[in-house]
Amino acid sequence: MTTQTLIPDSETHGMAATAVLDESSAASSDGTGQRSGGIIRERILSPQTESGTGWPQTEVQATNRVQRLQLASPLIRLAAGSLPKERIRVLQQWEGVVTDVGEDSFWADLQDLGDSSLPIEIVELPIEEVPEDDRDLLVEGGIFYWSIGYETSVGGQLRRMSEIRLRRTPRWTKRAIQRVRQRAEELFELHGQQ
Amino acid sequence: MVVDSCLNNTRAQPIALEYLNSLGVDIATQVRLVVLTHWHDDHIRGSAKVFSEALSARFACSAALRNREFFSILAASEQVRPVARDGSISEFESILEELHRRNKRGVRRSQGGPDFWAQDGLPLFQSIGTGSATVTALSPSSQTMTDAAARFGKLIPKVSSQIKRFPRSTPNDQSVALLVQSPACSILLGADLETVGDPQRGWQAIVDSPSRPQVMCDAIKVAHHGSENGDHDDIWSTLMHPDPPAFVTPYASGKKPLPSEDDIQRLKSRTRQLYCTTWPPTRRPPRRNSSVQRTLREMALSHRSVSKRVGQIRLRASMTQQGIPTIQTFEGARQL
Repeated sequence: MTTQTLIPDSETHGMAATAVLDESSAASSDGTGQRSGGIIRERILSPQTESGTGWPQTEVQATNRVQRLQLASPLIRLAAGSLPKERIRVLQQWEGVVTDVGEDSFWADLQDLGDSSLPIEIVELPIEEVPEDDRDLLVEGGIFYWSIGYETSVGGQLRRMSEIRLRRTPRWTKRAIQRVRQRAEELFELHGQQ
Repeated sequence: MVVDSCLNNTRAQPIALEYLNSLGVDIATQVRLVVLTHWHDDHIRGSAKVFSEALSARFACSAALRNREFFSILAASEQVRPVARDGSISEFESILEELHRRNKRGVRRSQGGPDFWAQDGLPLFQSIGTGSATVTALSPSSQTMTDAAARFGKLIPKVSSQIKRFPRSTPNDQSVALLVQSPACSILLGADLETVGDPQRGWQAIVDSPSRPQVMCDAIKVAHHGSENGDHDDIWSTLMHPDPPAFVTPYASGKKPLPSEDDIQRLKSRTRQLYCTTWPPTRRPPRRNSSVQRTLREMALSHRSVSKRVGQIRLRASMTQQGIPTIQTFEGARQL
């Protein structure tokens, strides 16, 4: 059974609404919900229409409304004690900069994020430790975060964990490149002539 | 004269300033020349602060940087800096800005940019009076300057490519090697200059150069952290007196720390007076929680830590009378 609770914008900081689901609703999707990675996201209509006259009267009105309304917040409130939670306890974290990439391994300079007074550490790690989705980011100069700790699974099992995540950086846009060209010309005119 | 810059790990201050202050040198009036041999981060950190305090100094850098392509990299670094947290190249830009400010204040006569775009055979400094000293650039060669624009051009970011740090450009033949001469002593400062296959570039170009002062040097700062690429037989036979004091600065980062054991053996075969500013350059990393240690043992193929001790070597020689220079080591520096 799904319980829907409508929350005014003022309480949701601009989000149209949020949903309160009970445990049974997580296993199935009704007509208004959609599954996304195991989480049900509810489309919930606000009671206020654009004209302020109430609920939509026709299917077309409702469709238009749905297009304009935001998706419900992904916030899902579970009843207390309904599910055990997965917990992660981080023991160590570094920020790394890739300095060299080989066939099966890569080298990096690590800075301890818990104690910045410690000197730089140099490490060689197997490429297979990097998530496949991140491997295209494994280039000289790439930045990553390495965390080591313990993970308590949903079933209560304790596991030692290590996670390497490459930082995704923005891409150069045409406009940014144009600005670089223009700035380079200014700098060269100012400093490159003698 | 201050050549290149690095920071003290513990105090985050340029080591050159600390040293000169400890000697009681008035940095504002007595430092006459600041040289950046090349733009790599292990040679440039803190250089903007050094130059900002050296108010009477002139500034020299490699003529291989004098092209629109390098200035494009400088311009792009403004956007790379916040994303990739790499501020090293901005030191160079800060120095250019300081030069511009000095121009506007009228304390410089130059129209703009560095006082010297250093290249093979260019005199950078000459003192007057008894025991006068001269500083001459020995590189880059003309061929290197011709090639430089194309090399930097390959580093300029392209549309849709990810914003990231600039990779180190190798081979490193754009560095400014320097010859420091006084009537009593001559010293060769090798920067990161490498030997490359082309005789018109790198060390071979210096050895063959007709514009180089034809002197034999008494001491050498070994090039490129003592690597094999930074070495050349003719340096020791053509440019140096036999068995000279030789000073190596290690490079602890990356795939292969420098100098390697093989490099040490090779250099020891060149001279019996080999010194290193920090030895060993790496040490065991700090001990951590036992679970973290276990994970590190299981995952890391190698793991080491940069030595926190930044050592110094001091060579002192008379400016006027021939004699044996004295050499002292401080902190992590030692003779190998």
